[in-house]
Amino acid sequence: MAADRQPAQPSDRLRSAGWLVGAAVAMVMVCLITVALDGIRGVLSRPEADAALYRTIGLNELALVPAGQLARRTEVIPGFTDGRYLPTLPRGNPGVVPLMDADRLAAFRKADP
Amino acid sequence: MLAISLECRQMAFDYPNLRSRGAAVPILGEIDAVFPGRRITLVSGRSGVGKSTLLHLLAGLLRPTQGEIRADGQPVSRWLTAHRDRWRRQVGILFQQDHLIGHLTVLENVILPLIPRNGDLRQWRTQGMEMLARLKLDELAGQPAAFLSGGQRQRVAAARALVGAPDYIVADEPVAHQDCENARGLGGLLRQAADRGAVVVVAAHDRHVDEWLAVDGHLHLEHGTLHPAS
Amino acid sequence: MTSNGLARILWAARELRAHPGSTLAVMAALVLLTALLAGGLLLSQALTATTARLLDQGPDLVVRRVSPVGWQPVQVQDAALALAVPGITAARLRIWGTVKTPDQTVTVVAADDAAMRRMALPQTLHPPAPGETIAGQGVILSETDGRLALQGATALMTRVAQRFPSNSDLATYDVVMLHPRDARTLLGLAPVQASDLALSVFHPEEAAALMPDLIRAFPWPVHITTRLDTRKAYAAAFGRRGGLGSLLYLPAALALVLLAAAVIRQQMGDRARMGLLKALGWTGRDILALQMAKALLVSLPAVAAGLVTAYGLVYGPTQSWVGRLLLGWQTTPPRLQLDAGYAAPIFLEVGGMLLVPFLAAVLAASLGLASSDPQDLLNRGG
Repeated sequence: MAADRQPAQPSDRLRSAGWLVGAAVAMVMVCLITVALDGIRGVLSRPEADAALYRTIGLNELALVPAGQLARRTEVIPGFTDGRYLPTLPRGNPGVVPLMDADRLAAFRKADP
Repeated sequence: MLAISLECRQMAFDYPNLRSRGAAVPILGEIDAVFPGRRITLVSGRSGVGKSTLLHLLAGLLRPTQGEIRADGQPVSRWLTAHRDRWRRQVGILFQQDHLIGHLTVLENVILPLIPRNGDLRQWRTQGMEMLARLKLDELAGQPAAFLSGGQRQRVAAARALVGAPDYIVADEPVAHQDCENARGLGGLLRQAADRGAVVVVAAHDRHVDEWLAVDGHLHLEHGTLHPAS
Repeated sequence: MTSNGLARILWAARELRAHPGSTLAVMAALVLLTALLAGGLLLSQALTATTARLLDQGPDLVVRRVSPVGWQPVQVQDAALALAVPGITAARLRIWGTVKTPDQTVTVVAADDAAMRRMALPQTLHPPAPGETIAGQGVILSETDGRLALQGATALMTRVAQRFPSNSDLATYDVVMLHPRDARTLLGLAPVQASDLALSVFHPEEAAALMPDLIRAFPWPVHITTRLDTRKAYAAAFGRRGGLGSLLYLPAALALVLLAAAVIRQQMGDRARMGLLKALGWTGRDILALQMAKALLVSLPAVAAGLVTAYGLVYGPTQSWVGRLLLGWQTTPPRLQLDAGYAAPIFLEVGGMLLVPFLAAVLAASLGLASSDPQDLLNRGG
């Protein structure tokens, strides 16, 4: 019978289509595993090292943006200002602080061998 | 066991767009005919007379504009689309154009009707290969259908029509591109189908039909109506 | 799943494999779109949560002395004025400021011996001696011998004796900790002066309510920042940066519409084939299932890949793009130890946002095909 004479390789491309399905399932599984691992990380490992140091240092700014940039400068955060004596207060220019002058660095080097 | 049948009752058909253009005569007029099971019925007629349309109506691809078609006593032409779709699983149709899907392999084309039915991949492959072997196409099973000759394509289409062992078989010019030997092979398969109880309707205008097919009944289509052939 | 169901899915995959170009194009577009949306949301969520968690460790209130010419230092004895206010539990004199090095701007802070003893710090960290510093991982040393030149109100040459651990980058990346005497010298503070006062309160959630009492406690004008103010400032800063990112959502939505339109057009182009399938005994439901299986096989792994990519971009080793592109770092940005645990809701949100319209578009297009007569489809499909 023809069934007995079936070639080792089937005459259709469904086997390779099977790889496609396998890859799709694998990708979805990877995604689910990522979510699961993220959940486990979220529950089990709150990073405490940075919290302890932050508490010790006592600042109320984070190193998310470079020091000196507006988003880092907590002193310009609009908070509560006591206006009994000073109805208007000057504010500094909140731009980036310029780098140290090269000649000043040279003077340092000379002064501190 | 009673044999099944296909029956046209006062069935007429015309294309609505043709009617709107003022065509006076419907493609098919009032047709009353019975196509019994266990028999091969030949429908002959000139080209363009409406043989293909009649077969498409019998296969449930079209609905008659008047009258009805009954399958095994049931008015299938009046059924809702969903029910007719399901009934069509019992029909094997061999189109005049083969309608193969070129990028699929020969075997994949053949197993197309099996996929929505119960069964698994192994079963489909077995059935498909058996049918291809009977039409001497098993060597080509892994070839893309686009690479086949006209005759081979027609036999693949025949294999596709017969692979599900349908109860109703309509074949439109099934051997137009076949040599005698292959035509006889296909005729033998149609005879086997009829012998197991299927309704077989073959449309052909080939004068040498009896060289490859032993028909049990012969109807002639002319001026939109069917008459017993003389 | 039944063997027949599996076989049908295989068939859907086989159909996709027949058109690898368009399948890959749709998948690539979905991956990009998903990664963009999920990456933005995940980053924003993780940054906000991490920032909030860290800021919760900081002072409840910060009091600065102000004058017409700007900020003024506070005196050591001013801490007692704050502690006299009911509800204030601790007052810490902070010596800190922003100074320059040859390569960057850094935040200097004086070591607070008491705090360092009190807090659970890594054993390897010791308060810096005069002339020494503890520097964050991002402090650049242009001198080869580990010296660091600092320029504030005065200039100071120090030696970097220790580095803060890299897992505290978010708090310490460009922070330089000095001996209090060095810090005062650098910032131009007298020995009895400090930059400001950091206060702890008994009920942190009621910190704002203490402000009227606090301003009455000091004989000079003050500027008070609550933790909530700081949080808001950070959120606003992320918002400004995120605002640019959110502009991407518009083209992303447009891309999704185009994607769905392309899929619908492709399905309409499949009319003749669908007509053939119906002629061969496929029911409308079979065709619907086939089209949906194909759409799921394309969209599910693509969206999953996009989500995993987004996660990798936010938490993975390639995370430095965040610092460079969004946070303004010209030098190597800090390693963001962002809090985890937010992937599930964001993945669900983005997955739903993309999958639902995509699948709905496919379903809508397929319904028309599924309910048509096969001969109509065969004729119209050519």
